[in-house]
Amino acid sequence: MFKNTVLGAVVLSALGAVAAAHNGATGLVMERMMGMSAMKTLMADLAPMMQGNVPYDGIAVQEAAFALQGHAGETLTGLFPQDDIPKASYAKREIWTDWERFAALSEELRLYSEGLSIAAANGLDAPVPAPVVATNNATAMPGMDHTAMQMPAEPEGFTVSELMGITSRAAVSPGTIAGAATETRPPGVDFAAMAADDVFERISQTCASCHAQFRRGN
Amino acid sequence: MRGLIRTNFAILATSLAVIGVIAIWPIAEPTHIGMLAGDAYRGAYLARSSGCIACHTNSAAAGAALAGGAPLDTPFGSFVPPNITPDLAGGIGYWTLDQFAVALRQGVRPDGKAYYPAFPYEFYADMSDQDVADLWAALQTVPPIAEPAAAHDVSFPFNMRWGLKIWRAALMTPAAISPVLGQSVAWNRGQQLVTGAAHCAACHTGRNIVGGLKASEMLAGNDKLPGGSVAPPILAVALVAKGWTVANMAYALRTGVMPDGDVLGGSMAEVVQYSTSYMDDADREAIATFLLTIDGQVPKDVARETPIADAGMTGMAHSSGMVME
Ligand code: HEC
Ligand code: HEC
Ligand code: HEC
Repeated sequence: MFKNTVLGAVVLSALGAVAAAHNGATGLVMERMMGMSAMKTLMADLAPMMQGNVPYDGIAVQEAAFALQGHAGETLTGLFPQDDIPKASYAKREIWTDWERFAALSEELRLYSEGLSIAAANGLDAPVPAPVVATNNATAMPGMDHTAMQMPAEPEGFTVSELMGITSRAAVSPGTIAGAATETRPPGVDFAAMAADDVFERISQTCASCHAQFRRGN
Repeated sequence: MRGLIRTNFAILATSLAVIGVIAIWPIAEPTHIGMLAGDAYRGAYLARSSGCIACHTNSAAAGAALAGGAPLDTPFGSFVPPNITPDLAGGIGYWTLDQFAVALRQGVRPDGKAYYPAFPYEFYADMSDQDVADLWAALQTVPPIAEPAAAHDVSFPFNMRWGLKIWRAALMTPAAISPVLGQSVAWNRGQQLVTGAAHCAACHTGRNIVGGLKASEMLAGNDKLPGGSVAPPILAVALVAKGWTVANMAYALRTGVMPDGDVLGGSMAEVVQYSTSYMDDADREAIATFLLTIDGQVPKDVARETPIADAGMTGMAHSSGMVME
């Protein structure tokens, strides 16, 4: 009995601590915030690997991808019933006026997460050789001309037309085969032929586009 | 009574005379770039980095390139970035290169009237003649669109363009970027982008009630962005305290992913999506190097980590002690 009370208190205070960290959110609002925070942690773990700053671990990437997938799609949309937006929430009203778009982004997140679980085995190189982004920075720059913009010694793959927004760029990061082939949207993407970091970037773009439209700034 | 009317009339007449004088007060400095040939690729890269594409294209509504942007809501009203395609009717097809230079660097229209600072020309003031010619060449590659963009929706008294001349005289702060010797090439390039073309300060610096940038609060954040959003400070000490490094900031400017795994949101998501994600890695690292420099140096643990891929070539390009010619 005593033990149960103690346990209960511990659990309650742990929940309380989480709730406090989210400005007193409760119920579904808290649940979705915790889901989002879990995705944030997964992304933070993956990012250094995707940059090549820590050794790549395909199994860990695949597990994280499954976890992201579990938070996305209908699981995510199910946590946003149309409701008055409580004070603790950063959700925007547009979620419900533009539900189709919101749901599509959530589904896109699910698809790309699934894609990452497929591409995880490829590591940072696509199976078909793709140019690696060069990182020789300052040395590649010509002498400083103080007012003129210096140009990259070697353009990294965007055409004038892409830069000017006349045509949309082929892919998030230049030089991938998936990108070169078509302006792809799921489910037409061949994840098995993509580098894991390219799929990862699509995931982050999906988080960003949903937040830009449907999450208030902090 | 009659005296009062007469006085009022006198005041009105004087005011009108003053307005008249202000209205014809010339503000543009003559510019003669003439026939300078531009490089469309350089211009296109510059247009991306400078946000021209982000503002003048209404991507959310699938609008044509540079045919007019989504309205910018400000406390003074709503400004629509105009159609700047080379169309003779809808765009700026009939302009000369010199007129374009005056608009971009000085914020003055071909008819001599002033532009609103919603067009961030203050940040473009230091662009070279070659930069302007390159941008001009790039603009000529865009398909002309005959439909002009919608008009601004600005209320009195801000709808009086002549008033902008007073604003300019009192508050305009055109970028003047001088390279700092003893700083690395990357730092200087970063300075050029952050304080000039990429106009990071436009959002990250507070403004006074009439929309002038507060020079003393450069990059110290702005909690009153249009739409109630907040741009946090991007001063080195604050950034370092939040865990930013040269490597993770360069990465965030490409992908939006922050060191804690959250993604950059609000209007910053658009900056990443429409501008910085198109830059090359060297430029993103230059921005990060400039922003993360404290007392003339990037702190050691904040400097770029060596990617394991080329761990054999430590410390090559990134030492901040690199001196410019
Ligand atoms: C379909 C839209 C959508 C997608 C996709 C999305 N989010 Fe969110 N996110 C939201 C909304 C809406 C909120 C605000 C929820 C609230 O406060 O009620 C939010 C809030 C958050 C928060 C703050 C949680 C808190 O504690 O307040 C984090 C962190 C976050 N998201 C991370 C992510 C990451 C990382 C991804 C991608 C892996 C992602 N989100 C994808 C819509 C989305
Ligand atoms: C923050 C948004 C923003 C950015 C970035 C921006 N502009 Fe504009 N621009 C505007 C607005 C708003 C106006 C209208 C100003 C006015 O009417 O006073 C404008 C006006 C102009 C005009 C005058 C058009 C006319 O019909 O008179 C030109 C030319 C122009 N911009 C070119 C550019 C170029 C080139 C760049 C990039 C180097 C750029 N703009 C970046 C918002 C922007
Ligand atoms: C249109 C306005 C706007 C412009 C222009 C802009 N920013 Fe931002 N920036 C923001 C906003 C809003 C946020 C907060 C984002 C959020 O809440 O997720 C932000 C956040 C940031 C952050 C995260 C800071 C932190 O506290 O973690 C960095 C770094 C940053 N911006 C750098 C830049 C750089 C570099 C530029 C120029 C290339 C730039 N910004 C231009 C609006 C802007």
